[in-house]
Amino acid sequence: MSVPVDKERLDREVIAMRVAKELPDGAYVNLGIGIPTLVSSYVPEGNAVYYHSESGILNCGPIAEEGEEDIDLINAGGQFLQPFPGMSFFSSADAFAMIRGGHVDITVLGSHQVSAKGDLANWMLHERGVGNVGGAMDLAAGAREVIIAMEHTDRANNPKIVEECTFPITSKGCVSLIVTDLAVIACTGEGLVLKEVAPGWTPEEVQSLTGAKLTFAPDLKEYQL
Amino acid sequence: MDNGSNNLTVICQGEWRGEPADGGDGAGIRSLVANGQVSKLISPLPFHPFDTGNEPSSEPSSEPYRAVEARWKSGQLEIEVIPQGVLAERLRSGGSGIGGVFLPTGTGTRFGAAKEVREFGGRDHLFEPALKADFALLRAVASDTLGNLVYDGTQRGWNTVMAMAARVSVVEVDDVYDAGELDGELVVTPGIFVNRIVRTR
Repeated sequence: MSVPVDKERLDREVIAMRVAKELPDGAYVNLGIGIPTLVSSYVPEGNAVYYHSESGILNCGPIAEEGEEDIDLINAGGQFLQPFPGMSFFSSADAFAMIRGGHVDITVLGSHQVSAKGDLANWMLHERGVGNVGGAMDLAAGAREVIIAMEHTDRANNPKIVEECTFPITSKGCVSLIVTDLAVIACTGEGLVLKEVAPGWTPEEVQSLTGAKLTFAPDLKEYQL
Repeated sequence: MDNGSNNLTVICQGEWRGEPADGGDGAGIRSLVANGQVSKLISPLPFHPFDTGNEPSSEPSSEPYRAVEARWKSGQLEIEVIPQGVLAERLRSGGSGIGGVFLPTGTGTRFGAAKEVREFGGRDHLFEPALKADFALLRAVASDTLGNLVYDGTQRGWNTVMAMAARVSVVEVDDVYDAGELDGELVVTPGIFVNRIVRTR
């Protein structure tokens, strides 16, 4: 099956909106760079979610407005943050003790590839030759749950969900849920399960842009926002 | 930069940290690298994520980034990439007299290849040796005359760890108070980890 290249997909904000529904009240959450950063804007009202940053902050707030930047209030990607009630600060060693020690409930990360077994490859590109690993390996290995928020395909329309990762692995078998601009896919012991598809897309079309076999969930739905 | 030290090994978050944000006077790690004074970077995020882009097809953009990348590609700059939590724990060990630690990060990856593996609680862990530095160049908001430090916000992240891991730690502060003027309950880095204070005002 071939899908027209320009067939409309969901935008990054909608992916973030969908991921936000996965963050339960009271969760400690670490958001990666890119689409994951957008997630905090869409957490359902009434749900208190506490954000952790590897830069050494718990309960951090949104990105600072222009002109309000404070060099001593930054997230892991070096972005400036707004002051937020209830923030606490700690050392990098403690920041990763929280991650490694299983105290961070959920991390939302972007990715270059995810495999059928839930392997994550998001730290290194062959053509660049050096990895920008940051805290990704620690988060993927340490957080209790890893959710991936990414585009379904790369810019050349190659699948980013693949049978086996061809980019270097960040962590094996760590991913539990993949949310893309086309679908929501659960990584289970029995492989990838297609749970939701974007409006206007069929499960078969999503499969045709996925490099690994998808099992269609019996209760397959349209993307739930 | 001015005293011309070269062949430096720099342990840092990334080459992009420490440049003056307003483009004014002063130099960060990127300036030292571009000036050819650094032979090795040990870093979790050597290149700024917004310079390199997150997509395979995106191209690195900024000029200073290109200068650093050119030195690396020509072999004049070695880069050792370490997961950030592993770096923190290696430094913490270095500063604490611990030979090294076993960590679960990176098992089954390229990063974990050729490392000693041991299983704890049914899970593989990799041996990571302690890491120490000769000098640490640090930042805190204030000290007292005994070198006790207090921080502002995320200054606490790396400065606390690096202060312990260096033989000589040099700390830039805005204000220096007399001993007794800082509340001991609020001191984060005790003066035993601090060797030099530089006041900015």
